[in-house]
Amino acid sequence: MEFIHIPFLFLYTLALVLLIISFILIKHHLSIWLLLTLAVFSGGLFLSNSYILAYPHIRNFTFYKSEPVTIRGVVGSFPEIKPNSSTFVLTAQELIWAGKVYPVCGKVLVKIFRKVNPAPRSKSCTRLVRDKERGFTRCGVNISFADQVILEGKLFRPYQARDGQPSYRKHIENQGIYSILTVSKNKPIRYLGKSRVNPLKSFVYKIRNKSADILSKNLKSSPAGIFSAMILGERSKIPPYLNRLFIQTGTVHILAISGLHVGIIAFILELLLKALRIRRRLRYLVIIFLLILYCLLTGARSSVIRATIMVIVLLSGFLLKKETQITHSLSLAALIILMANPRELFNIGFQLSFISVISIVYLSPMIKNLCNPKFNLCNHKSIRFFISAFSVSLAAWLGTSPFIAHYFKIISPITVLANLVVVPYLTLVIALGFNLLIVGFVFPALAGVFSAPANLSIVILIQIVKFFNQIPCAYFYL
Amino acid sequence: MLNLTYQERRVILFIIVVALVGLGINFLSKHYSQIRVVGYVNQELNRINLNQATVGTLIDIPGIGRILAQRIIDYREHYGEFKDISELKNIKGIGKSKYEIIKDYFIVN
Repeated sequence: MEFIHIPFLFLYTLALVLLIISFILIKHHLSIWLLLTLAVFSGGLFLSNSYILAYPHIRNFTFYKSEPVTIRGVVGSFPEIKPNSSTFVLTAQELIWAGKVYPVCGKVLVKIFRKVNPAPRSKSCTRLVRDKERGFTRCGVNISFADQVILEGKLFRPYQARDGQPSYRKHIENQGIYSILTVSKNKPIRYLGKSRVNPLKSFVYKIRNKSADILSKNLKSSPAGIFSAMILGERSKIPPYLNRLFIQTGTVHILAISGLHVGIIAFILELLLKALRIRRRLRYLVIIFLLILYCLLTGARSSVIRATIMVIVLLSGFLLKKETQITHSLSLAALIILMANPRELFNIGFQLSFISVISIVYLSPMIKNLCNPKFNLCNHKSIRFFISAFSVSLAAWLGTSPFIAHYFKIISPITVLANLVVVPYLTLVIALGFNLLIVGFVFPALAGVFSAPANLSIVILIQIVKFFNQIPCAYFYL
Repeated sequence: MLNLTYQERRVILFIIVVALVGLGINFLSKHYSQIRVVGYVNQELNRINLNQATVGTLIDIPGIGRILAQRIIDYREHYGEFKDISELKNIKGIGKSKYEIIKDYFIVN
């Protein structure tokens, strides 16, 4: 595990002993606690088991001295395309090393150092088609999700920080990736065909590509980067100095899609569908479906999954006319995410996302109660609203700041104030961004008109963040 | 706080048993997996033989255009068959860097 290592078999025998005891004591009224412990144990076993790799795992072919190998596999993620390189996850199937073919399993992060065409294959030039018959493409690469490819490159393990700091290696190992394959410029890429794709996923991928296109065509580069982070979950296009600005003021969470964004989007959808006079039950069902689509569209990060599950639970509570508790939906979300990948537990995004919700749920009422007696005199509606907003902001900061101090070595008290301004403003920004996207899809000629306010909103957002950043004692590096 | 009936408890216990058995099977299958060799590759198979290449096959290699392909063919016709890939460096238009790029596509026999 992350800090301590307990052998799997030891845990397993312990769980078996517990199992036998609970079999014997199942009629006893205390046996529920036994069952609970057992469930926690099986969760731990699940986590422990995820650290054990099969012998033909691709990591066992990754040596300290990187060797040239050939790997056959299926592209398992949407390629992330940068000007001169592209990255994607490859599910390896076969590996050729020193003239021998080994069946392997496991995932590899592939980095291809050359220009990549993001456009779907239909657009490609005739030369590409001819090249595909020969096996490799020459005017750039054309790789998309679920392609079967053969790649030639060098395998190595990601670099690790010396002390126990969260490093890149830990980060991608928690996603089940232990090795990186770099494919240099002159190595061929063979395209074998397409494996069966989930039609929903490829549909979502097309929408994502199209939206990214609309954003980058109609907006200037840094607003486009910020919008594609806020709406599509693609954070690579944000310029580093802006990223630093957002981190220092503690508002970087608006750049990563989280519950806030999903909530705003659900709200916008609700308004839209209400305007179309769709009945309430049907409306909620449509919203649930669209939110799931959106979750897939943004790459299904744990914070988005969490928010989506919580909104779905809330809406289905309305549908079934049952009351729901936020703690229940939160734990359900945690359970689902951890069942999919138990090592998400050590993901910074997962921790921050859940700790902020927990602290908002439990701490903010306390803070509100502390404030209330003193401000009883001015019992005005707006002041009460301000106090509740302030307590939410403060609670979230109190909850997350220990984690942020540990991981990012920064404490920024300005967060509490900055979020009071930035978060309400974000609703407007996201609404403008969605507006632009919808117009871009339906009526591209008008997109130019709608892009100007979107641009302006981002410029104002950056100015607000800059203002908070300049306040003295806004942040301290540890 | 927690009140589950006898039947519900049995259901939970059943689910946990299934999960534990599944984990055990998963662990064993990982533990007894082996690295196998399923085949051997002739690494020269997908390369182009310099002594039999035509202009058409040479053009398809990234970094080689029509003129350079023609020069390679001319070189072969003039000096006879290639004995080593490094002979490519003698051709006008193939410097050190270009040679590094294209050498992996060829074999000589």
